[in-house]
Amino acid sequence: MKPLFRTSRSLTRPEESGEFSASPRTLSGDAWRQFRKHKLAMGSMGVLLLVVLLVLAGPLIWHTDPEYIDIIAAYSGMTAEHPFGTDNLGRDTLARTIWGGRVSLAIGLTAMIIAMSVGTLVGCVAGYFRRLDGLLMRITDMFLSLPTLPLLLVITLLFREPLRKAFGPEVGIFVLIVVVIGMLGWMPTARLVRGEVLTIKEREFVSAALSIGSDDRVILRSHILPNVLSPVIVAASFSMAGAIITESALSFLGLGFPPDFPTWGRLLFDGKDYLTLTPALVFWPGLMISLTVLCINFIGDGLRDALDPQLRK
Amino acid sequence: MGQYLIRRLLVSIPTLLVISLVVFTILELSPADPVGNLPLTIPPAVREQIRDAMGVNDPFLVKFAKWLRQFMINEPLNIIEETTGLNFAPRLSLAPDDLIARGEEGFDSLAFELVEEVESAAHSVLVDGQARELFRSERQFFLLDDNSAPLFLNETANGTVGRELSNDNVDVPEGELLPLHESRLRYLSWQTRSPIIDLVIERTPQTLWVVGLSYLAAIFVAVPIGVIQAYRQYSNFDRFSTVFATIGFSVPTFFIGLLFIYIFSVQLGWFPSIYDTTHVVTDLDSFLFQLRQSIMPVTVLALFYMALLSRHTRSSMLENLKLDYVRTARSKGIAERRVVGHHALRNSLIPVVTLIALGIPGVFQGAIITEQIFRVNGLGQLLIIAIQGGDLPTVQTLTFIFAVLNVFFNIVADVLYAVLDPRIRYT
Repeated sequence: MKPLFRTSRSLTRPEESGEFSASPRTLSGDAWRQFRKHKLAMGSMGVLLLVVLLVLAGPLIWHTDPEYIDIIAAYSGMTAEHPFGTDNLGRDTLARTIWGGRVSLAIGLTAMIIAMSVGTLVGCVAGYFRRLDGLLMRITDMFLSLPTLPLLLVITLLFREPLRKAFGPEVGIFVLIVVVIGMLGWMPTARLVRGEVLTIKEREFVSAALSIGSDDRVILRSHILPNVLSPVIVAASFSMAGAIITESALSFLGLGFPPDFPTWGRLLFDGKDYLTLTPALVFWPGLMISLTVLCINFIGDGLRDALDPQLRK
Repeated sequence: MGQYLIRRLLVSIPTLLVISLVVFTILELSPADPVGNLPLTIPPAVREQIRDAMGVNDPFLVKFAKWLRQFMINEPLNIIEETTGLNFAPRLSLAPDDLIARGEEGFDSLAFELVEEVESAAHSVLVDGQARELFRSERQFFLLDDNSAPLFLNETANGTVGRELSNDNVDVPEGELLPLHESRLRYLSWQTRSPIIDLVIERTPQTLWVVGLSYLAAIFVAVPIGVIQAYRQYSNFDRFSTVFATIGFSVPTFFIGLLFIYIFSVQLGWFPSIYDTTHVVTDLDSFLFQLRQSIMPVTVLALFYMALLSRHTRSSMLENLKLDYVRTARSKGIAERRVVGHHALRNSLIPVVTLIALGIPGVFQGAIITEQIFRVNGLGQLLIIAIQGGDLPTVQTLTFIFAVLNVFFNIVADVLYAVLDPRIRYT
């Protein structure tokens, strides 16, 4: 694993001076050593990698077209031909689960990136500039009092059509869902980062940077940001898990992607009416959601322990 | 304390205002058409009239002001009146016989209805040069002619829209509109044409039943588990429960719900998969049935909060068990049971109680999904139906109710924290 950031940089590199034989210890290296001790997190990492591999490389191995309709094979159970069964039109659930996974994971990832970027930005600015603090925290509080799920439902419903016209049915809804989930999920991160920034900006190294005349942007970017990264990384994992669940919930309520566009939540929504005929239709996509979210949460737990220097032995 | 509470309440007013502006703006910006659901046979000109009558073409701020007035003043009063039977607005009662309207030229095609109770006059208008009082009942306007017989201004059967105050048939010159006193408006659903508050009141008990039961279940299961976990840290029970808790809030409720339906309804046949909304509890048997049909929705909704609360109880308990006062209590020779159950637990519960208060709006939102799985006719289902039908007023009302819940329980949590923890100063 490549080091994410270094804590200290010696003026002469150790390998050049020949003083040390081992490679330098880095903060991320330490964290990785600690993370490996967390068995559940390591196991989850393995499972998550498998899921990602299945979703990305799946179509290379499993050639069945997810949109191919074979009405005669409808509601087939789990057979060799259709390991995950088929839906009411005879479409192969395995192929649909693979394609659905791509969408679900992409949404989780993008929404997380949006939430983290906005949250970190707002948190940094609020923590660092005292004048903006009050205003930004009021806004954060207000966003926190918004009812997330109802608002999400309302917004996706109302702005579906214009975005569909602007970007096409799939991309439009992808953009909409990702932006809305991201914009309704940045507040905890902003509060967290603000708290961290408030303590960090009183540290000596920030005073030192100020005294040599660094401007605010430099201080924020190269002194404060690296130090708030650990809690943000932990928050990012939980945020991604949350985003995947939220998207699935939206699709499950029938308000996500269009019907012919599989996502894990949408597959559950489509399959729930045929529960008595073929439970496989619901079981596999549901299992994939649960497994992915569970793994990400365990990894988050592991990261939290690994990135907290006080817990490190 | 009182001062703190008042300040906290005052701060929540601008928050509520901004939230209502956000909710209102989102729905205003939306391209949804309020007359989109009406039959296609209605000509465009009439459609435009309907829009006008609905106030769709009013300026933004006017609409927002009307909306605010409706939500902050009128609807709460409506709720109070409906639930307590009190009356705030003076009403004019006429004997039913008086109210059978007489046909007159231009009014022939109007629908006549027997009205039992009539709200008193709102405006005085000029009709054919004569000043008349305009009355409003639930959904219709009418005038009283010389013989005190009412002329209804109303929606007609053939689809043309009745005369609003400003319409051509009733001549209302500028400046002649004399508001005597306003009768209270009711916010109507576009889908059912009935007051939204009625819909809300009709559906609240089911939601409260499911939400309340599951939250209680979650609290009564989670807190003991958390305490035992903390007391026996790193034991097998602790490990198992921690993993179980993570599973509990990782597996989405809709998946657990569907699994439950498959296992307990389809395979085992223990519980009904669809909640019977018409069921009335009259005796013990019907009460048992009510419990039986509630078990699955309640459990599904409770699992998530069980996981969350047990985790917090555990960590809070762990912190307290390490503290000096626990050691002191033990060294005084107090029984271990009492040290844990009385001294440590009471202090550990402070953050948990706050969290419980903060979680309440979340359970209501969680109920949206649970109600959808088990077809419970609660508020969540009403929201979904309204969203699917493009029924903006209902959607606005429900979203606003959810927002109010959020703000309210935030305050409750803050106040509880201040009350329970004497170290917190009321600043």
